[in-house]
Amino acid sequence: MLKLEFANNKQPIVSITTPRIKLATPNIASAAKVLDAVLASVDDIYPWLPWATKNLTIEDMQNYIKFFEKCHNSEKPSNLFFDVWSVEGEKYLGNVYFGEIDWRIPSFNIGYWLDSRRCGHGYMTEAVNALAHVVCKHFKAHRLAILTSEDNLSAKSIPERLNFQLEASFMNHHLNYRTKQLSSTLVYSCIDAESLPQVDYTYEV
Amino acid sequence: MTYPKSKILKKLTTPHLVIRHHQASDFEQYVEAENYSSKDLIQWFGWVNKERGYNSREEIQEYFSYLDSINTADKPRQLHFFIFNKESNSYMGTLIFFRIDWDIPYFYFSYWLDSRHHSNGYMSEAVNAVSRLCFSVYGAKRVQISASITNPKSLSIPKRLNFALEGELKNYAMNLQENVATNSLMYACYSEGVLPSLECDWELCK
Repeated sequence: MLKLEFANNKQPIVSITTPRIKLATPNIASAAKVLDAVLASVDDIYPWLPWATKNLTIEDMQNYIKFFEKCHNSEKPSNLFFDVWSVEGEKYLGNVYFGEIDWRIPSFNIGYWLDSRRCGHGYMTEAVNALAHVVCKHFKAHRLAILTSEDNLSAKSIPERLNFQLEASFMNHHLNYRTKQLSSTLVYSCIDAESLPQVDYTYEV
Repeated sequence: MTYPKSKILKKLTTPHLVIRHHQASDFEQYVEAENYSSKDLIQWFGWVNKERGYNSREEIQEYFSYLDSINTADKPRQLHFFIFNKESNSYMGTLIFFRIDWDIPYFYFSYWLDSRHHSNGYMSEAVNAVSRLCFSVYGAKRVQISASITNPKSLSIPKRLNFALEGELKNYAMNLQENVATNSLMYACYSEGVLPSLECDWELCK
C-alpha cells in the first residue's frame, strides 16, 4: 500500500515543450485550426469520440474551448485538456486530455486524438509521454490510466510504446459509434514515471 | 437507450428483501441507519462528512433532493435503490449505480449495508436481483463492481455471484480512513445465466 503525500504544488500547467511538439492550454483563438483538424479526421475519430461529426461548426468549437478553459481555472477539475502543436507553434496536431481525475490519489485517465493527416510520426506518443512525466512530477500522480477499445489499434499502440502495463480487459465496455459493435476496453496503467521512456521536456506553470 | 419512463422500477421483491427508489417518508430511518454505520462508511465513501464523522440531517436532506432529481432524468448517470427487510419493512442499505452508460448499456455498482445487517447475504441477494433487472428490463450488456483488495466484505459479493474477475487496477481506490491508495479488483457479469438462481419479481411504473 502506498502512503499518500498530498501534492501541495497545484498551479495549473500552462505549457510543455519537447524536441518536436508543444502542449498548450486551449485558446479560443485557435478554434478554426481545431475545427479544420477535426473535420479532416472525422472518419478516424467518430467511431470512438461521437462528438466528432461533419456537422461541427466554429461556434461548437468555441463552446468546447470555453469549457476547456473553465476546467483549467477550476480548483479540482475532473477534466483537463491540452492542445498539441508542432514545436514552432504553426501546425495544430491534436488534443490530449485528462478525464476522471481523482485528486485524492491523485489519478488521471488520459485520452487523445490526432489529426489524421499527422499520424505515423509518433507525435502523440511524444505528447502523452511528456504529459505523463509532468503530471507525475508536478501533481505527484500515483496512477495514470489509458482506456482504449481493443479494436482501436492506433490508440492502443501508445500505452504499449510507453511501457504502460496492461492490467485488465473489460468485456462489453466499449461501443464503436459507427458500426454499433461492442468491444472490450483494454486498461493500461503507469504508477511510476521511472517506467516511462526518456524524453527531453520543459514545462511552465 | 434512455431510462424508459414506462420502465422505472416501482418495486423489486426477493425472498428476503424489497428494493425500490427512495421516498420522502424513508428519511428518518435512513438517517438513523446511515449515522449508525458511519464509522464503516467513512473508510470508503467520500460523501460522509469527514470532519464530523457522519452526515447531518441537512446534508442527508440534500442527498434526498439529489435523488429526486436523478430518478426523473432521461439518461441518469446514477440511480440509487433503497433495500428494505421484507418482513419488518425496515431500511437496510443502498445499492448505487454510480456510473451508467446508456449507450452500451452498462451499469457500475456500488453499495453499502447498515453495519447491523452485515453477513446475512442480504447485499448479495440485492445485487443478484438488481443485476437480473438490468439484463431483463434495461438491456444491460455488462454490470460491474470494483472493490479495494483491502475490503474483503465487498469483494465477497461479486465472487459469490460468479462475476468474472477482469483484472487488478493499481492505486485505483482510496481508503479514506488511512489515507492510502489501494489496488482494486474489477469484476463483471455479462448475462444473468451465471448468477445463482433467485426468485424475484419486479413491478414497473406504468
